[in-house]
Amino acid sequence: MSNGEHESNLPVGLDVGTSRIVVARSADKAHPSQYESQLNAFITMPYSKLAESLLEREGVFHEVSGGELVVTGNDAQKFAEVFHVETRRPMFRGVLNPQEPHSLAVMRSIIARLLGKAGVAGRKVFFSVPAPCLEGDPAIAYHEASIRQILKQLGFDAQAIQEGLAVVFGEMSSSNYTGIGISCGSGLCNVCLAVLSVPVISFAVPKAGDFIDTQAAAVTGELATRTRVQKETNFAVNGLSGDLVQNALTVYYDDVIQTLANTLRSTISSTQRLPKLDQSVPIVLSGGTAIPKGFLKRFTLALRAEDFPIKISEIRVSEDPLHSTARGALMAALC
Amino acid sequence: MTARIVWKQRQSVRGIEKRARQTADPLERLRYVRNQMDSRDLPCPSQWWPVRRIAAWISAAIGVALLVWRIR
Repeated sequence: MSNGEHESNLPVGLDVGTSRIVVARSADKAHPSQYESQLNAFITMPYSKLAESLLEREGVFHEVSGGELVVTGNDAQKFAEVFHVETRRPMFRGVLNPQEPHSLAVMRSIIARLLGKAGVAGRKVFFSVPAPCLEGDPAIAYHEASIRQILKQLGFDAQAIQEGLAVVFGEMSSSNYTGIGISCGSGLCNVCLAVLSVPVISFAVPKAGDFIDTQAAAVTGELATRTRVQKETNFAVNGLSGDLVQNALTVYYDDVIQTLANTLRSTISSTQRLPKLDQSVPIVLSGGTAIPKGFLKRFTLALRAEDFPIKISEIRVSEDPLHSTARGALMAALC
Repeated sequence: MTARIVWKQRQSVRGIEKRARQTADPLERLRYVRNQMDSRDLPCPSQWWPVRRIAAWISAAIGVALLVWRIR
């Protein structure tokens, strides 16, 4: 068996996020994971032969759908900047966007581009799914079944793993996979308390990166895409300043952090059958929303402001926050 | 669930933790922990003795014993 063939048989991990889709691969079981990602977004433009041939010549990732050209993935962001429009999103709050008719086709196209066809029928893939919000979310079942179907059509044996649990698998080997994994993404903050790899509590908070972008954009009169770019390039959660957008981002970041800390505290406090934990447990934050400087400090302050129902050993941000979920999904697939 | 069962579960979980710490490779450690926990319950200390049910059984037993004693 050649190297390429061997690689195409190994399991893969897939993080299906509202903002990005990330695939984690391992060349073999002894080597570190390699990651590839695409923006989970698209834009459409009217079909013309000229436009299509231009896109093909430039190697732009696109498809023809009805009378439209659909540009998906990382290329969608570049086109959105050129045309000064917002990218459209196939997912909203962690699941397929019900308002978007292209959602399933775009997801299929991006996943197929990242994964390709399974080299061998039944090749294992673990893909991330969100945990239900405390108010309940019936769309998760449809979302999970749709992604599973896409992967099945590509020849994979697909299994779902909750995003928070994937963070625990990817980050908490030193505590024997006991701790609280939090994935602060675009659509949701997914939380999982696991004890020895067994998920005990899983839930999602529907305030995350997209909430910050849209609210900050609404109060400053900017496009949400622009506030997102500013947030990702030079933003730090370190108090109010003279800049209007920075101030708005700080206010809504604080809102997200407070909501996350309070929900975490109240959910764990209200759980009746909590296992007896002999030791204190770590909390690991991951995802793009946890990246800005000052996030960890604010979250730690918010969590320690009142008594927490279990002992916490440390609170830290993942060393590779954008790939934690995909890495955890890959580890689950390799087990 | 009795206190003894919970105690046994905790001992068993401690054993798994101790053995897992001896495994350096994160993947091997995860594989071991998941295999071990697959067929086990986590120890839940918040479960109470079924006091009412026990009291009802004792009362019933005393009642039957008194009845038998009276008949004899």
